[in-house]
Amino acid sequence: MSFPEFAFNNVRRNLRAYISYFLSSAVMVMIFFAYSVFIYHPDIFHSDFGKYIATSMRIASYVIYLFSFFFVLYSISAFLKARNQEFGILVILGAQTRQINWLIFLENMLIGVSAIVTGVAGGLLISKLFLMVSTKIIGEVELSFYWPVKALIVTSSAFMLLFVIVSLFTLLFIRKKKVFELLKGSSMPKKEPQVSWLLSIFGAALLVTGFVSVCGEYSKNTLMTAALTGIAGTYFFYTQLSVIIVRLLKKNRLFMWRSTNLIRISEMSYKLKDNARMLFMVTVVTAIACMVSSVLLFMSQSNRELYNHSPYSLVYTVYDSNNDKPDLMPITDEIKAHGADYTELKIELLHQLFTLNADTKGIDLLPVSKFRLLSEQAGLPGIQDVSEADAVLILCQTTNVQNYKDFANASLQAKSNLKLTVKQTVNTDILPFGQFSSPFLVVNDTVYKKLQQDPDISKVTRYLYKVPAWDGSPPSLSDPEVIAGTKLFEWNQKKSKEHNWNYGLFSRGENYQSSKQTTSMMSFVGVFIALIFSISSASFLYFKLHTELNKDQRMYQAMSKIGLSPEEMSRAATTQIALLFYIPVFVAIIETLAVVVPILHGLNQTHIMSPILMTAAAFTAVQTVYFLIIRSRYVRSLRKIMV
Amino acid sequence: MDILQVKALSKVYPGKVTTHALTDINFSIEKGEFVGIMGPSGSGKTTLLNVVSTIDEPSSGEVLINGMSPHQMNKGELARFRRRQLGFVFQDFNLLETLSVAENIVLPLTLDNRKLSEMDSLLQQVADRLGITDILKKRTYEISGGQRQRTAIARAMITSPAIVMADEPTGALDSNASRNVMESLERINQQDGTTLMLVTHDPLAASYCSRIIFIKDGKLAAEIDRGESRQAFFQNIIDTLSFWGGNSHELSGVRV
Repeated sequence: MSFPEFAFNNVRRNLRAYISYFLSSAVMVMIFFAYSVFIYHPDIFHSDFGKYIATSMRIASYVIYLFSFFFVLYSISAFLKARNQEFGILVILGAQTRQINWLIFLENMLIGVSAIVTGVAGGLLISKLFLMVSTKIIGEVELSFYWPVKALIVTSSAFMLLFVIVSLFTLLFIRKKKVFELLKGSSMPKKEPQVSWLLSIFGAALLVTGFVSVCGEYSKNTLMTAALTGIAGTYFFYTQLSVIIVRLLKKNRLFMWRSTNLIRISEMSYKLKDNARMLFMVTVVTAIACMVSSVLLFMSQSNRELYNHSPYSLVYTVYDSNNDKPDLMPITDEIKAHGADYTELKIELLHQLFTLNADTKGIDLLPVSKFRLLSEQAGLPGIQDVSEADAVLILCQTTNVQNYKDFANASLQAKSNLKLTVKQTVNTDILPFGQFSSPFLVVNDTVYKKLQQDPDISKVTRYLYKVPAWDGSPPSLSDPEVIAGTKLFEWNQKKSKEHNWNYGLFSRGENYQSSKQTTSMMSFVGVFIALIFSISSASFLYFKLHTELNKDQRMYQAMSKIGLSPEEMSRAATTQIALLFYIPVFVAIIETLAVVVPILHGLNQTHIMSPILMTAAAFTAVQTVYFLIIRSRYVRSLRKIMV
Repeated sequence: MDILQVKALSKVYPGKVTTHALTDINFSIEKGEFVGIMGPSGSGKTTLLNVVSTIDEPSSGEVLINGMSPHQMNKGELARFRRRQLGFVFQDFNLLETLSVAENIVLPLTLDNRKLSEMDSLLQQVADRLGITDILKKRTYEISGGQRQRTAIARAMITSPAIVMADEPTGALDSNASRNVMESLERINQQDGTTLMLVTHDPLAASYCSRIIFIKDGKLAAEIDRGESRQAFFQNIIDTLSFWGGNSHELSGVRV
């Protein structure tokens, strides 16, 4: 048996232990490769959006690479720890450190190279699909399959480098140990998990700080504080708080000395503490994936809402308008070119400053007569008559609605001796001016006319186009509303640029489709990262259970002799595995709720819960699949040894 | 009254070469007896213990414990039967190192969901009997081998089982701890009337029994009773072993 053969046999015969690590590494290589195939595609630079996607994929591939580094490092050091005894025997038999290092290096490279080969092969298989899906999202250029030589070279050399560096790193771990410690290996009796009250309180304080800072004013700094304290607090939660919780449980003998609880709970305290670092990593990774997916899901949901709540297909806005009519021909011509009927509504809004609670705040004003027209067409709720002394506040549910809530039931005072009392407030989901909407006041026509004469007042004119043929559910890329909208949007960009950005055009369809493209592209890129995170966290758990299987088998066999039935074993083992699998997910979900809800609430986004709950459900479902597979394998191998 | 009845018991391991581990074994143990099973390596004593203690299935024949036939029970019934009727003491203790001594001892009772007050009083009783009251709060890695084995005996005793089966309980202990453990077993046998079955190849340990059954090549070979003097009994054991072992210096490694 030559030395490389020895290394090869070690890997081959330990395949069950290595399999999940190998598969996760292969998946990482595969996805990295698929991204590279896209990034280095020769046709990608023909499209602006394609370039944009390529950039975000490049960032995503950096994330994957960084994560892979830590994943491989952690996995390999865990493998080595489980094999301490074996190395001790080798040392006693007279193996030199150099030889053991060489053995470890060979083994690591063997797994690494096979993971690269498998990953690239898998990547080649899925890259056609990958290109097809991305083409569909970009919707412009057809990205055909090509022979990705550059991607191949980049992927394999990058990961080769990664495996070499990690292998060299891990050699440092093993060198420090004494032969005695190596030989004793994992058979040394385990001390009861230690905790420090000081650290636990510190951990709890960190978590509270994180939550408080996220609830306060939204800014980059608070977000940073929240992230740092949250992550550190999670770490202490696992290493300290979990042990304390179990210890308190143990104090309660009525609960503890009952059925299999004694085995379950005491094993749990060891498993939690032993795996604290791993559970911490899984939690952080899951929480990040969960937060990002919640936000993405939320974005796509609010995009759909913006479309559904915009009654007008096109809103053309002229800022600082004089009385001369702008050129509206391109708009109407474009609508007519698609054979659609339309109605045009011109609305002139006055922006008036008011003194309110010792503050100066501006708001748009609209005369009652125009509002009646608008509300009839747009489906806004009707209002009662407005006298010269009062006004009606129309609160559209926009992101800035919070700033206008003070106007409700307020007495307003303007410079020009104008006094208004807001007597009615109308809440509505409808956004009459689409993206440009903002809460406004409806005033008596006479008041409005008087103000119109004021030379200092700023005026905004909006031309609203209702196209009945285009109303309904959100359009697809090929629908006339989107085609016309895109064309007009580009026309306006060009024209507005020449006129000091004095013109704004909102096309409901164009806006919907371009936001949709962005979010679906981000989800497309992100879903693979979430997949990697989720697979690798399952891999960590699988490996942990695998290394502990022998010990658990011995324990359960002894227990079975003193009368533990297979069902009781199955129940005890299932609880243990379930806790390992679900604690990180539930902590991650709680953290997501604690972070995302206050942030989105600060931006006055209402329907927050459903995207978060959907993401949480998805993560729980995926975790359940892993849990069921691993649990059934685990319990089956335990059942075998039950006598 | 017979606690254990073994009738025409045979155990065959099928395979390329069929192994007859046990052939037509018949014996019984009465309530309150302390019976030793001895025999040279490979004679089938561990197989016998495993079959009798329901860990292994017999190929033919019958085992009755307290009049019940455990080999006809399903797994759940069997587990309950073990935890109520049988006590086990192993060579390597099989204590859970994640639990304290007290928790290890009450484990079979907690599986049965007994009342806390009942568990506490039983624990006190059995710990007193075995002289381990002082170490109840300790963890298993903090105590000596002899103390561990006495903890294991306490765990086997606490359910007041019909019979306690001990598999080489002194195998991993030094002579002092061995004596201590054997005296503990003798005490629970004499004072509580616990029925004991002991498998060992240590003649000194065996000399604490009241009766010894020798097996060789899977068959019953001899049976001797203790009588009055332990010294004479010990010599008797050595003689019988050398006779049935075939070759007396084979045993010279054993303490003589």
